[in-house]
Amino acid sequence: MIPEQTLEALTNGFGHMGSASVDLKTAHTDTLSASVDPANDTVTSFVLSFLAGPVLENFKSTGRVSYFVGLPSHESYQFKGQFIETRQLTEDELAHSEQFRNAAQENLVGMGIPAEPAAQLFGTAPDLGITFKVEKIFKQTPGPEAGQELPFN
Amino acid sequence: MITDEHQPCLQGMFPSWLTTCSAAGEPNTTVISQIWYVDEEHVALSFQFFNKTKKNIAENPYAFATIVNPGTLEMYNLELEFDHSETDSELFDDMDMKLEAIASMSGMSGIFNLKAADVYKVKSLKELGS
Repeated sequence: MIPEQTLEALTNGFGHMGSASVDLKTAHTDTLSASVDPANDTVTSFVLSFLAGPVLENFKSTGRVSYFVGLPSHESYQFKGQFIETRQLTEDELAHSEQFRNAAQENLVGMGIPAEPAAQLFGTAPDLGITFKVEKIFKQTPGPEAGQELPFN
Repeated sequence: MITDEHQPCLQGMFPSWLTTCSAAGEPNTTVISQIWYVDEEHVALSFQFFNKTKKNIAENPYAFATIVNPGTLEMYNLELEFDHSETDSELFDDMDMKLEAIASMSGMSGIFNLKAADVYKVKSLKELGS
C-alpha cells in the first residue's frame, strides 16, 4: 500500500515527473495533480500532452519514472516506478485537477504573483493521465530524514 | 544562449527543478533553490551534500532543468552537461557568501557548507511550450 502520509502530497502537491532516454538524457514535465490507487500501488499523474512529448517517448522506451511531489509546507516525496500506460482522465480526475489548479493560483497570488501569469500556468486543464507502478518512495522534505526510503508493501 | 531576459530566473527567487539519471538509467527529479548564472553558456549548482543528484552526475553528466521567471512565471527548459567543479574561485566565494547569508537568517549558520560550485555547460535553452 502506498503510505497514507504521502497521499496529501500526491493529490494536492506540486509535481514534476522525470524520465531518462536510452542514452541517459533526461527530461521532465509538470503535473496538475494526480490520482492514487493505493491498493495496486499505482499513481496516475495529470499532464498537458503538448508539453509531455519527450517524457512520454522516454517512458515508452525505458519505462523508468521518477516523480517528485511537494507541498507548500516543503513536505515532499520522491516516487520511483515503472511506467504502465497513458489514458484519458475521468470526470472525477478532471474535477480534482480543477480544484488543485484553483488552489495553486490562489497560492501564487497570495505570494504576490500577478493573477494573469498564475492563470496562464494553472489555467489549462490536463488532457492526459500517465500511470505508473510505484516501487520505491523516498522522503525528500529538507532535513535530517531527506533521502530516507519509506517502507511500504 | 543565456540572455538578460533569463536573468530573473537565476536569482533564487523561485525554485528550479532538475532531473538527472544514474548510469543504470534510473531518473531522479528534485527541486533546488537556485541555479546560478556563470556566463552566457554556463550555469552552476551548489554542491553541499553528497545526495542522489551529485551521485548521478558523477556517473552520467547530463541533466535537465527548468527555471522560472518569478515575475511572469515564464518557464525555460535547459539541457545541461556537467563541466567542472570549482572550490577556489570568485564564483565559489559568491555562492558561499550568499548561502551562508541564507543559512544565517534561518539559524543554520555553519551547517550547510558549500563544498563546490558545480559548473554545467548549457547545451540548449528553450521557453516551455515553444
